Order: sequence, then C-alpha cells, then structure tokens
Amino acid sequence: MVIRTELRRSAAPWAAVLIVGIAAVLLFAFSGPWWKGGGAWNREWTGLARWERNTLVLLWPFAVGVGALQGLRDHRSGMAELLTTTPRPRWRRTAQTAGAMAIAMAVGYLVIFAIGAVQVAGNASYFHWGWTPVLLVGMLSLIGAAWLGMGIACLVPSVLTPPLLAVGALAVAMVTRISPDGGSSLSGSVPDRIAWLSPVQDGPDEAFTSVTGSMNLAQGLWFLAIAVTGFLLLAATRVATKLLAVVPMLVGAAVALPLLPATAAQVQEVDQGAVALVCAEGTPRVCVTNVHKEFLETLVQPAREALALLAKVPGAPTSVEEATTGQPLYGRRPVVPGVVQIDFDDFDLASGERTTTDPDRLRRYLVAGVGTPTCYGRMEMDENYMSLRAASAVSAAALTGELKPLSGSSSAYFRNELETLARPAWESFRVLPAAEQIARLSAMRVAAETCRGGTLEILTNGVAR
Amino acid sequence: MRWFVLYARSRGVPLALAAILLSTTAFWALATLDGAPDQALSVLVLVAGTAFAAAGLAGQDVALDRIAAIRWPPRRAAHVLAIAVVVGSALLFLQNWGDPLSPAGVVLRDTFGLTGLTALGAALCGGQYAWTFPIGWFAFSLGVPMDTEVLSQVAGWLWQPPGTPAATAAALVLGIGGTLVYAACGNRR
Repeated sequence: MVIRTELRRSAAPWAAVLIVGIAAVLLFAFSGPWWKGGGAWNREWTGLARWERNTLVLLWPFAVGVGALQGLRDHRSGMAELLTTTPRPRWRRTAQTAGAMAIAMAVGYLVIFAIGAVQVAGNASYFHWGWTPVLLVGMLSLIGAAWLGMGIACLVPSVLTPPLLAVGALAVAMVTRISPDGGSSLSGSVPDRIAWLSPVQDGPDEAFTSVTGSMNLAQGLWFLAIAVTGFLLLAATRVATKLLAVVPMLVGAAVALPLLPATAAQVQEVDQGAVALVCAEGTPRVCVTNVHKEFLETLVQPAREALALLAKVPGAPTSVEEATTGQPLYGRRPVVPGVVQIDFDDFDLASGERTTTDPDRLRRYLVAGVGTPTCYGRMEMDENYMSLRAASAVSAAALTGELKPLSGSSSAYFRNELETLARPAWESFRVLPAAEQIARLSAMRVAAETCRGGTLEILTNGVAR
Repeated sequence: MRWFVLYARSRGVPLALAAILLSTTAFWALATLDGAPDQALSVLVLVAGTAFAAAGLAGQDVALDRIAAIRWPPRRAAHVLAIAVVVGSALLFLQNWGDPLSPAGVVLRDTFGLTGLTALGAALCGGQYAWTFPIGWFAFSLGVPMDTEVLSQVAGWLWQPPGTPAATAAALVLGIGGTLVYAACGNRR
C-alpha cells in the first residue's frame, strides 16, 4: 500500500507530531488569551472544542506551510516527467499523498482534543455532543489548509512558495481571529462576515454558550470547498482543469458568506441544555445550572444559611440561582427580582482558577450587598467602585457579624479597600440600634439594586449624600 | 560585476527581492489601514522579508559550489548582511510616510537577529527549510509574556522596546552567531 509508505516517509508524521506539540505548548505553557473560568479549555466540552479552534492561529498557517513543502516534493526530486510516462492517472497517485497528509492533520487535531478530553472528563458533569461540529470544522480547516498548500505548491513549484503561503496564512489568521465579544481585529475596515471565513476563533469565557449551527455549517462548507480546490490543483494535469479548480472555492465562498452571521452576537447562542436550572430538594430554592450541577451539594448549605440571614431585611431576595450569563465586560447582567444570582467565575469566588468551596466565603458572597449584584462589568471601574465594594463588605458584616474581605485575594489592593473604607464604616454601623441597622440595610439594598450610588453613605449616615 | 550578476541569478535573488519589496509594502499598508499600527504586523513584516530571502542562501548544489576556486566565507557573510540591509531598509524607507510601525532601533535589532537566525537555519537544515526558523521563533514568541523577566525578554526579543539589553544581546548573539556559522559551514545539503 502506497499510503502506508506515504504515512511513514512523507512530511505527514512530522506534521502530526508538530501539530500536537505546537498546540500543547499554546494550551499548557501560556496563560492567555483564555479565561481561566468555566469556559476554560480543560473544564467543559464546548470550551475544549472552541479553545482548540484558537490554537489554529498557529496550526492553520503551519498546515499550509507543511502542505506546500510536501507539494514541492515531486518538483524537488526532478522525476515529474518520469511519472507522466506511467499509465496510472495522476489523481490516483496524488490521492495517496493527500490522504496521508489528511490523516496526519486529523490525527494531530484529535490527539490535542483527546489530551483535553481526559481532563474535561474528570472535571465536567454535563456531557453532550454539541461540541462535535466545532471540532469537525476545525479538523476540516486543517485538512483544507494542507491540501491547498500542496495544490498551490504543485501549481507554482518555486522554493519561495512555502514561505509565501505560510506568512500569508499567518497574517490572515492573526488579523481575522474572531472574538465572541467583538468580532475580529479588522472589524473597522473589513466586514465581519469576511473575517469569519477564517477558522480561528477565541473560545468562550463561560460554559453557557455554543457556536450557532449556521456558523458551523457555513464554515464547514467553506473549508470543504478549500479542500476540494486544493486537491483539484494537486491532481490536475491539464491547464483547463487547473483553472477550473478555483470554482469550488468561489462557490464555497458564495454559499458560505450569506450563511455566516451578520453580527458578532450571532456567532454564539445560549446552550439550553447547559443553562437549564437544577434545583436542590426542599426550600428555600437553591438552583445551579446543569453544567455546574456538581457544585449544588457544596452550595446548598451555605446558600440556605445566607437566605436565612437575608430574611431579616425587608425586600431581600428569597432564593439563590446561578446566573446563566457570564459577567459582561461592560454593564451588569439583568437583575432577577427576589433572586440572589451567584456567578462561580466571579473573582470574589474564583480568584485563582477554581471556585472556592469554603462555606464561609460562599455565604459572605451571597449576602454581600444584601443579595444585589455588582453594578460594574469586568472592564469597568470608576470612583464609586471602591465605595460600592466597601458597602457590600459592610452589609455582609452586618448580616454575618464579622468584617472580612469579600475577595479571597490577599493582594494589598483589596486589604486596603477593607481597611480604609469598610473598617470605619463598619465601626460606626455596628453601634447603631438593631432596627436602624435593618432600615439602613434595606435602603442600601434598593440603592445597590438600582445602581444609584451612595450605598456606603446610606450605611454610615442613613441617607445618600 | 559579471560574477555578481550570475551569482544573484543563480540564487534566485530577483524573485526574492520582488517578494520582499511587495510583502513589505503590503504589510505596511495593512498595518496602517486602521490608523493605529499593529505591533504584530510590524514584526511579521521583517519575519516575512527574511523568510523570503532564506532560499537564496543555498545554491543549486553544494558540491558544485565547493569546486569553485573562490573564498566562500566572506561572500556568504556578505550575502547574509545584504539580506539584513535590504529587509531593514525597505521598511525604514516606507516608514517615512505615515506613522512608523516600529522605532528604527527595533527594526535594526530585529532585522539583524532574524537574518542571523535564517542563516543558522540554512546552515542546519538547508536553504529549503531555512525560512521556518524566523517564522517559527516569531510564532513561538507570540505567546511569550511581556514581563521584565530576563528569560521572557530573551525569548520575546522580537517584541521588546528599543534599548532592552537582554533583547539586544539575544539579537546580537543570533545575528553574529548565525552569520559566522553560515559563513564557515555554508548551507546544509
């Protein structure tokens, strides 16, 4: 079998090994750009498939370059003319080389997935098959890239072809990489639709979203078209066939472009299976999302204690639910009346990588701000930010009886926040009569829920500025 | 003069030169498209230039080159330095228009280091594969953290601000070392 020889003697085995090596270095050795929260590559199935797509920023240009080097082989060996004397059609011979390369690409990509899957299998309690299109599209894009590289190198057998193709692919991959938060870095000058013909995607911050079907379908068709064009270029013997080889790629683009989502928001959709709430037995209501259901047992006890503490304040929430959206970069997620929302990726709960299981910190988080969410997005901070955090710390102290930092982080920044703002406020608040304390907490809760500001003044003076 | 023209032709210099000039112009245009210069592209433009010049570091046949009764080492070193001059000055020249992509010091340092790296690639793996060295280091350094650790400054020497001693040292070691190794050994078959 020629393909067995090709698998051993062509660039294919090296390509597979290098693909795994490059992706492993990206995923293990470097901390960014991935968020270490619930959407991390080693935590959930969707996160794994989507963050693996991010490694294509290097793998995709690599596949193009390796394909081009492989495609130059016939030219380099100077036996192209000799091979034309055999009666066997050219496509039969090139299919063996192309097949070996495709196998190498697929195996390399799947091995990275398997490395992640071993970790995910230990971490995730929510299993589903929704990630398969994302994985398959990524794999197809690698095969298409390698075949296109081989085809172009056969068409233009110059020693300059591989570096030209690799540099070009690298530049395209870098500038068109798609981020779910805001399109590509070319959004200003190139329509997002065109940028989305690139296979590189940034993964999710949280575990609640998946890539839309139309995005996967359009990209899948596009990369299939690229693969067909690459193979036709490789197999063609006549000039007319070589010219016709462009047609699949043009058709692919024409089909894919209208199918691709028009805005960045339409690239991903809520994964209904992941965000479905799983509730603990009994009352009061404590629910987490399906994707984090392993955390329910840890949460129930502190959550019910927190609700019992909150019950002292009129108007305070009466149930605990996990938030089903990530904390936005700007602004806050919608407030649900009567519900304390818990976000396992909140930096007060997960300052390192994993959500805390310390019941005291969970309870403090839930009663902070009398159950109201923060007013600030992940990227926001203004002059009221610290006073809101201090007010949250004081309200948590008022209900639990002890002033402690909200964050698990031991950084000087947060110690400072506690000592300079929260400590004096807490000293003046704790000596008030019980009824006055409850009245101020209730007023503070309304102010925090509506983001009016002045929350710390309400606790210390009874009125906002 | 005749020797020079024949040498340039046998090493594919005209084509490589055209590729370098075209890609430098294209990257420069792309990077200044949005107004704010993109740092990644400002380094990639130099990586691309040296990568395109890499193939010329190997002749038609090593054995054939060897039988020529000429002193190769100075000529090889001159070839490497000529690559650095062309790639660096192409960008420096274009930078006269619009916002400079990167300071002249960075262009000089990166070009010299990358050229030496390419020459090292030609000596170790042959002209055919020498281009993978600059591109490989560039791709690797995309993920190196930008901090003040000496190790990350050496690994990410391409990205450091001008006048960073560790980055300058890395570029000098690569540039001088690569040129010397290639001048002494020539390209691998």
